[in-house]
Amino acid sequence: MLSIRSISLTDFGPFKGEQRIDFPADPGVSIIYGENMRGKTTLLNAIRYALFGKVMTRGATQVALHQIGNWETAKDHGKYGFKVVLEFENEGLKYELTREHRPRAGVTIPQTDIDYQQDCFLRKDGQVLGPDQRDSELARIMPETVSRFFLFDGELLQQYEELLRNESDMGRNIKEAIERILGVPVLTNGRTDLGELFKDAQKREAKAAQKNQKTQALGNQHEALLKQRDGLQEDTDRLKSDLATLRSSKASKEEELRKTERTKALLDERARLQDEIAKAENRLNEKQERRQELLTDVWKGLLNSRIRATREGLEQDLQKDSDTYQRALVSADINEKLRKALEDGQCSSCGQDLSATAKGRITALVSETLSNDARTHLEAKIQELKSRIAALKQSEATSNADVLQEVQDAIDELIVQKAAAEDRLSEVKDQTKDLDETELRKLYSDFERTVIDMGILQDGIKKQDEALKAINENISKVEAEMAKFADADLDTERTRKDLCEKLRSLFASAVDAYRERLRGRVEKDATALFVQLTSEPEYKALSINDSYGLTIVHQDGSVIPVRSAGAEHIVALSLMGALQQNAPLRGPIVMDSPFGRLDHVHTTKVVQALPSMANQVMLLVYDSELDPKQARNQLQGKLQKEYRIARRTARHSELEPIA
Amino acid sequence: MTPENELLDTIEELRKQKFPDVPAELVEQIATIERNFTENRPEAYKRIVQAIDTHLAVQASGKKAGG
Repeated sequence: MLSIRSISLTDFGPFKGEQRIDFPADPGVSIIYGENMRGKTTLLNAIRYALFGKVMTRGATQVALHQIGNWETAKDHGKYGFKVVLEFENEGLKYELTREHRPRAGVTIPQTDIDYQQDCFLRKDGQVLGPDQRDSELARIMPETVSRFFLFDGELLQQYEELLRNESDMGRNIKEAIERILGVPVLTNGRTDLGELFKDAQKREAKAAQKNQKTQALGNQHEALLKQRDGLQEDTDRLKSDLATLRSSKASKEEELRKTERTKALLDERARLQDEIAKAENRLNEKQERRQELLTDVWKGLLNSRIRATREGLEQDLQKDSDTYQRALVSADINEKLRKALEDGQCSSCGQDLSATAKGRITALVSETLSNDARTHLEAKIQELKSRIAALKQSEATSNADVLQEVQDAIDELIVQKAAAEDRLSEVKDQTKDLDETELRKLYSDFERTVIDMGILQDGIKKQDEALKAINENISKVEAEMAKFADADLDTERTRKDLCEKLRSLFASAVDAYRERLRGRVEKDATALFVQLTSEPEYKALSINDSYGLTIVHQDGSVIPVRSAGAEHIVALSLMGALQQNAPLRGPIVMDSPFGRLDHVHTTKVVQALPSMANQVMLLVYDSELDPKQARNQLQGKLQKEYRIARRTARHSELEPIA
Repeated sequence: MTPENELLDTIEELRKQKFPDVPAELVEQIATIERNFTENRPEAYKRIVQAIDTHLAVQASGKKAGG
């Protein structure tokens, strides 16, 4: 079990000059307090640098190493470079690992990583190991592939939620890392190696068959089929390797995309607002044109009452004239008869002579009726009245103030809408002014391209697998034919082949069986830890899926489908603890800001559980995240060491033990 | 049960059940090699080849001795 004894840093990040932290051999928790920007994450990175020669950002991107040296040392003393020495114990042996970056000969002011040379050496019980031995020893003690379970950033714990998404590539990558720490590669690598040995044994069998005249033809056929299969297998492996590379690339792109979600949302909003403003402008123009049309007649609205009165007067006149005209039409025939009677001097109906009195009355009647000229004049007058009335009605209609008001309201609303959109657009533009949009678009387009390429590769692999299956069936048939012949060399090689095949099958079966057992154990241990950590008494268990993703189970047996960031942290910490308990490889847990998302109750519970999670725990926290008094009270004898990262300047921090 | 034993125990149970004629010592030897050289695949492969060669040689000499 790896146990860190000390870390010495020289000009590493804000840690100017040489500074050192010692950790006691006894199991327990050490706490390093430091406010933001003092160097907590740098300390985590110092361990990572010593072990793997890498420094990572919180977003899991590698940092250029020439940026790591202390700025003040370089500025004030013209001294560049940095060093970390890690003392640790593993399986009862003492190790001292030194890794240093210093400027190459002839470089006065290093500008890039190339300007530095790296020195790394490992002492094992006082003896310096050779480079290969050093790398092999370090890879065995702390493989980089599982380091995420030992050196972790509390802010990244939510990544473990990806394990619940079967289709997620990040989830797949985390699952692989979990299986590594749990020792599954012992079996999967065994399965692969024994599979290769089986193939090698098949080739040896073919060679042995070729040496015997009776089996020579079969041996040749066998060898040809094996070569064909190897070619196919090579192509398939290449495709699978390409697919794995794409998966990994997709996972990192997914992470990048997740980080740019907010930016993408802003850019989408910007495009939407620009579209909205353009549409509002168009509609505004239309409405303004309409208003202009209405305004050309609007003056008529002011005369509306007078027009109406005039129109009504004219309508009365029209009515009167129309009546007169109608009457004139009706009486025209009668008048004609009366006129004839006057001319004849007798009634046209009864033939009696008209008296003088009657003639007088008829003359009066005839004189009252309209003449033809007068009727024609009346007709013209009626037509004129109708025209005038129609014109006045038109004036009244076109000066409709209600329509104008509606148009004006719509214009006002559009102006408000447009102004609001322009305000928001201005804010969004401000927030997106420094963005490299081309890069972002490229990221999205690359992601889509990766997904398409993965689909193509998956199809190709499927076809290759089918071809491999067919050729393996042919190989088995030839081998069955060869088995009918007795030959000592052939028997020896067949024994080897059979043994390798049995071993391969055994390891292959063990992979599934071991995974099943592991899932059961991890689920059980994670549940035990979770129940201890959660403040919700109705949560009774965690349920594990095939990818080691954990779901909270309520006491009524139902699963909790959605959980908060805090709950996610608790579940992830439960998984971490369970993995530590079930991993053949064990080591210290170094946690950077693990309590940032937890409330006081959960923080208390996690602190209490820390000593049971790993033999050696190092916490990198700020005071408001974990109160020192609270930590001391809770951990008591399990609290091994306390340090504080003290500020000297913005670029100079120092490690001070807390007495 | 320690995690190391859990892994060996899983293989042993399956060996007994499915391949009782495959020697338990050889299986454990291979698992141990893979565990010790998880991050050094070529070395693991080389050592497994040696282990199988040795096993087959011992088996062959046993057969000869047994006549």
